[in-house]
Amino acid sequence: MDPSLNEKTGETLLEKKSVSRRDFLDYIIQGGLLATFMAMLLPALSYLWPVTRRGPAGGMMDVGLLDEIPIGGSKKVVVEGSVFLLVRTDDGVKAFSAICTHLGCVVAWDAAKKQIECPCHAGVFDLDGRVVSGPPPRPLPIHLANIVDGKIYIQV
Amino acid sequence: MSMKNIISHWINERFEVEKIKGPLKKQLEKPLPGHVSWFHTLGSMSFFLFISQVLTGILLLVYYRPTVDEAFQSVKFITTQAYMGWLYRQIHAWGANLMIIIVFLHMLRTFVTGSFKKPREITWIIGVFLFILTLVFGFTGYLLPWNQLAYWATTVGTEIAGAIPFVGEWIKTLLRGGPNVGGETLSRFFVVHVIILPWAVFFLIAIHLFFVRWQGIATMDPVDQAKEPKPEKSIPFFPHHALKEGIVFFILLGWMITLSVLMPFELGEVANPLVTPLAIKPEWYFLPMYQVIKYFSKLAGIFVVSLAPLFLLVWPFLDKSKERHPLKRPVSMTIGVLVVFSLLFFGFLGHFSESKRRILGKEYEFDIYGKPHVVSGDGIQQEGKK
Amino acid sequence: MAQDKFKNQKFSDYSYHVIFLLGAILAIFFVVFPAFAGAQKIEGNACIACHEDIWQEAQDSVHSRNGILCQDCHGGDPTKSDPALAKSPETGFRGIPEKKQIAEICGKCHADVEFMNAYGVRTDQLERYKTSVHGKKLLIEGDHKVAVCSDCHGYHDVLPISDANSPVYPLNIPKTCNRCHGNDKLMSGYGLPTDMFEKYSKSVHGQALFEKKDFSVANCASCHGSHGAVPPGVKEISATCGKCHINEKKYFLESVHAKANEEGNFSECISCHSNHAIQKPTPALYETACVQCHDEKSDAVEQGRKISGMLYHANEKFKLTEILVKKASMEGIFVEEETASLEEAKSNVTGMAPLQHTLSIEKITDLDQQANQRFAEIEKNINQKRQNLKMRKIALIPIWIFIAVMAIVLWMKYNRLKSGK
Repeated sequence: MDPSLNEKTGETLLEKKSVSRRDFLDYIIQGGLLATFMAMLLPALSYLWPVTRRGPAGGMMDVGLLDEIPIGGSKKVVVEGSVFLLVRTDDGVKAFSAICTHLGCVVAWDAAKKQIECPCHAGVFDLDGRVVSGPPPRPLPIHLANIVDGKIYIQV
Repeated sequence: MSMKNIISHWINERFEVEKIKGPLKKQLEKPLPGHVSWFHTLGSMSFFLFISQVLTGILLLVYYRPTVDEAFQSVKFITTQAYMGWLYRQIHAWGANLMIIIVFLHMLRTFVTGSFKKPREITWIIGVFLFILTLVFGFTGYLLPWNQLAYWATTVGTEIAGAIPFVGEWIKTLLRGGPNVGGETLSRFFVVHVIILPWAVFFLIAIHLFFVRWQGIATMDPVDQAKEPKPEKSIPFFPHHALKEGIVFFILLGWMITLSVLMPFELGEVANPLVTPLAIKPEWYFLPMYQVIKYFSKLAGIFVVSLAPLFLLVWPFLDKSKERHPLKRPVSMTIGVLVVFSLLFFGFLGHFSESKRRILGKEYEFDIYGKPHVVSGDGIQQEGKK
Repeated sequence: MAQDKFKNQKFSDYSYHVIFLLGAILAIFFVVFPAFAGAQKIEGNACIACHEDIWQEAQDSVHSRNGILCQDCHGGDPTKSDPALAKSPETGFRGIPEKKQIAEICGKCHADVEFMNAYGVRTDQLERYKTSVHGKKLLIEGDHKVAVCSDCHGYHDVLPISDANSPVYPLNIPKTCNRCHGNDKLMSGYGLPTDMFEKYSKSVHGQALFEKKDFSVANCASCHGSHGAVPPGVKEISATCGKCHINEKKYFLESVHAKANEEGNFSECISCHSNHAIQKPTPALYETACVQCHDEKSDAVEQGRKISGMLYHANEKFKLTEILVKKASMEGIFVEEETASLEEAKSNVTGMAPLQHTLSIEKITDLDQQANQRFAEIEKNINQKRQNLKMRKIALIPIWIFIAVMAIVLWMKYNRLKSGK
């Protein structure tokens, strides 16, 4: 180790200490700057933390587990402010918009009759969303539903 | 040995820190001329805003998706769901607006103190380019949320480019990436806004700052008679001037947050090419230009408007008097004042045009030229308005 | 994406061609061939030689296009060019058929299952006609003023029902019926009103049919039947309306009025809603409908007002909440859950409309409460979120205090440095 170098650094350190006396003002300034920096950094970190438990994946939304619905049963889910009706059939899950095309009531699955019914004006849809009877002017919009690893994904 | 010493020793062994400490210290403590005032913090504030835009921009990019289907939704996601996302979007939006104001004021200060004169012409020219790029930043960024206002302001903005003789149609198509504003426009505006402009501005700022430090801050002495600032009249950049900048920095930061909370930019509705909103106008910083174009035929309008940046660029070579002090340059100052007033005048005219307002109990309707017409008492609109 | 578009475009171009080709082939089979076969018959058809003007009318009819020509209805022998021979009694020539005969002549083919099967047309029209008021009047009473097949379907120029020019195309039915039923002179003999068409046109059904061209809506035939045209009896009204208004009928049968109807004291749907002039009902209907039978101060009227009030408030509340959610969304508040909750509430409110036919306050209150619960929840959530927004404004105070402290401290430091020099 070069002694002269060591001496020099020691000298400047001493010099600094004697010249700039850290008074109260400096503490506030340094503390304030640190606080400002932290106040910028911490929200940024929290912003980066994912907020949605279920995120979109490839344009598909994760709406729950397959096991939550028994075969022949159904479930209503809320995705992006709209209600969807999932019906589990023997060979998978079918996803419908649960909003009746007549006056906008929320439709329900009738497991016994194996059809989708609107409680308001007795509109009836089949498992392809087609109008079986009643006043609905259009078929029920059907959404693509996939099952991956026991999770149901629908396209909204 | 303390930890600090070990680290500084480790670095010293590898880099000759001592050698650059001197010049660094000299740069840092370089004395600034005595007339350096609060107005000289505007440059640093522009720089601070640029940094703020870059940082908030990076944060927004984390959730933003530049496609027609997802842009609006992703911005909505940022403002409603991501923690503090609303703040970053608002700071970014307000920062953009404030940056244009502050860069303009910085340019105005340089103009008034005559600092652009020899030998700092190139610094001025780079500054003008920085100002133009700041406006382009605003223009490209405005489209990205893909809301109604953005979509139609961009449609109008690119339409103006179409009026340029010979190459207008070509430029318009190039800007839009097609015949209409659409997904392709969004993509190229996005690329320009987040890749090209930031780096262009970054390098221009680097050169600009390098020149400023190299040539030093201009004194108020006439050209070629500049004296070294007297030690008793000058102050060092650090820490003296930096403290002033700190004060302005905190106040600016406070203003940005306050504006973000109290006057947030609304997202509005998603862009709909089939529904044209009433009286679409570009952002406020383009309003003077937009308004002036209305008074001329399309071609002449473009010509008149494109004179402005040209004049700005060549100004150091037009104003060749040796004097820097504003009071000793009456002609330049008159021109400057007139330009600022006309910008304000046409800006407000543009703001009022095509709108209905109640002033002093009377209802006025402003036509596209900004001329007020009194609306008859029964509220029936006068015919003959587009 | 652009590529996909391109592909789709290409595909649709291609499919368009295929459809066009198929159409052309079909056209040859169904139009040209029969027409050709017909043309052979026409060549030597002596009727047409003389009655060219009538052929002009008839040639585009569904019958002519299928080779059913003059002699099939009018009799006669088209192979004889001499009019006397062609119209001789042996040929079964009957000239212009009598009204009574018309139903039988049409029925000759149209009631023949074997014959009509080839065209996929039903064959019960004649049977039904015989049961109708028109049929009974004509065939039993010999009243020649009533409608027979040709009065509605036309005679020489009969078109399929699906043809928009046919008088029995859904859109044209009300006008066709009105040709007779709007005629004061004709109807005065039967004591029937003639303002139905006018009333119907202004009704919710008429407007939907004429303005929205909604063919699923009730026209004359939907309630009165077509071939078996009878006015619905008092007891069948709910059966008639209930064909479309399923839930309303179901709930009505649960109401106290169902019994009154059995006893013949109440005329189901039309007692409140009227018939031809039926309007889109609002809660205000209770004000005018109940007092027709009930005393102004009776409990029944009171109960009606209660239901009316509930419906009115639920609808108003829904509108207000909808506006609230929309406003909140514009303010930048995240309202996904509230929007979904609003959908459910809408379901409750909309469901109250059919349910009110039970006139059961408990049942309606049940839905009303569900809706109100959702409204309250939505309002609470939004207020909560708005409160959070307020917190942002309050947070400005400490921020500015901090900034003021920092500015003052920096300024003091600046002055100290300057004076220290």
